Amino acid sequence: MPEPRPASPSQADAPPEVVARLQATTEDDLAARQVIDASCRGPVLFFFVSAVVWLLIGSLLGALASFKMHTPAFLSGWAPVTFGRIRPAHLNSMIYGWASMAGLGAILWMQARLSRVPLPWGRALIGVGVVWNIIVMVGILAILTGGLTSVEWLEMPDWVAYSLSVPFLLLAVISVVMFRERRVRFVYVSQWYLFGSVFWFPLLYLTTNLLIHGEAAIGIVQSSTNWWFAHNVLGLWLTPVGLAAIYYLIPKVIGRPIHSYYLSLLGFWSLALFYNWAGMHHLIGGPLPLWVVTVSTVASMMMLIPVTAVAINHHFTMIGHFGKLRYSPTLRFIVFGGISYTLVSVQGALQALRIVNETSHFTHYTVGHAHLGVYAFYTMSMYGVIYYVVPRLVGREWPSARLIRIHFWGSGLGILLYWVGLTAGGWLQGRMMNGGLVPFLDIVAFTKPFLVSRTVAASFLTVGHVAFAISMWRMLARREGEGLGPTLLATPTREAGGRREPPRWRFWSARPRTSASAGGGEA
Amino acid sequence: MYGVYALIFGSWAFFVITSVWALLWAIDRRQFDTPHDAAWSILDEDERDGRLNDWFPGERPH
Repeated sequence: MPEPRPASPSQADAPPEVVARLQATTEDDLAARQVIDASCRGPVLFFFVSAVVWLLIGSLLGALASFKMHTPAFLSGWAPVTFGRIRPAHLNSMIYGWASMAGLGAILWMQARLSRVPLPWGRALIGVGVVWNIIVMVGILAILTGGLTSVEWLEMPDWVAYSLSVPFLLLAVISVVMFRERRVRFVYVSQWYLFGSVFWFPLLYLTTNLLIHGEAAIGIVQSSTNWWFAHNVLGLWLTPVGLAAIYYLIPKVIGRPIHSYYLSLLGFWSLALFYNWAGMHHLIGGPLPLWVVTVSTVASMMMLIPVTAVAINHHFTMIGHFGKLRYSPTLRFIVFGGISYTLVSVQGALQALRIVNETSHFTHYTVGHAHLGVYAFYTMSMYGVIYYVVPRLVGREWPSARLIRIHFWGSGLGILLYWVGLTAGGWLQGRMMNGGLVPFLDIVAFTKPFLVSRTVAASFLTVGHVAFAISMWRMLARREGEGLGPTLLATPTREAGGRREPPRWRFWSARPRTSASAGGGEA
Repeated sequence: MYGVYALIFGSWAFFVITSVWALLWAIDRRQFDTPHDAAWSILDEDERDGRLNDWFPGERPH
């Protein structure tokens, strides 16, 4: 348990020389944050804005797919909007559009802050973002026009897959460059997670595509490769970024360190050790060697170790600070994401047990679980990142507290309704299918109210997304909001003459810190 | 096909080696020796006193 340590320059009983030293350190910190945020402004905002556009596109496609689940005749005469194309278009736009673009922006900003160096190659990164958007857009159009593959989560044509590997590798290189130039002694746990994501995912993505599109994996090996990939997209790409954000932002917002640093490291290294093995539980009951599935089930249960470590750490860090959820939008989204991580991980581990899986498999239960992970955990965490980062990049407050609240409640209630409806409906569906007493079409009809609840939930989510997009647009385009205040600690007061010009600080000649802190430098 | 296998197994070898190297590097640099300092290291001097550092626009708590 970290002990409190006096560090505020405002402490009345500190000797004058200590106060002066701390004030100088604070000035250093403010200057460093300003320089780093200024270097991130162009590329990170580009990635975040792209992410929001993809979020709207993905929401539209998802709502349409959900509606067609209970009203299949709707727009059924036009091939591009049939369910078989709309659904993979929704999934790919959310994963490679929204989730990846938001994640890339979060990674770049956090890597710069944690290394305490400005972000290099800003224009090149924007170029990478433009190329990424074009590739994903062409891939989505290929899906809608019938050029999709039959491999779930990899429906975009193979040339798209190979093209996307290049930006991922570039991101890894940039992370290494910043790390080598870092001005801090410690590699904070968030940075371990970020390095995990930027190295694991290119490897995962490239390997899978080479095996599947290169026809090295055929038959059941293709299925196992496919589900190894699909499971690890969440665990080795999205999860590390989401957890990095939670570990970074909770302490930043509440002004206290995490409860146990050792537990956080245990969580990272056990995730690295166990998650990679867990994907085969998607094929329980399939024609795989029994030991392959059993190893995967064991690894899934072992995942309870990192999950418990993260859950304990987050909960104990927040104890005594839950009241702050009332005031901080970032904290609301981040804590919602953290709680959902525990929930989805425990649910996932239980789902890997044969006794549970034989009921939940091939039902809507699995869809509810996937959305709990990608949306309730990861997406809510990324909302928290964006609400924290964007004001610091543009030097203004968000324009409307009401829009943020609409976004939070729309997203929060929407995903809860979505998950509860599909989990309950899917479980009952599985019980009936296994029972063999109810005709299949009657089971389909039975699930209809749950599918309608899913569409209602999608409407809640879409309302939240539209409020979020309006907030972002007003923030960036209309220059609303005060340039002073709580989220802009580095900004001087109005009386002092508005925003301060960032000091000159080149990436390759950053001046050494003069910090008197025992931490050896802050990020 | 052999090229594909070489690339796949080569990249996996790279992955395993770099993971082990990262762990050894961290131990060698004493990254795990002082968790208290590491936990505090992300907080700047003006962020350490337990005050809220983020809130809804125009709604600063008192």
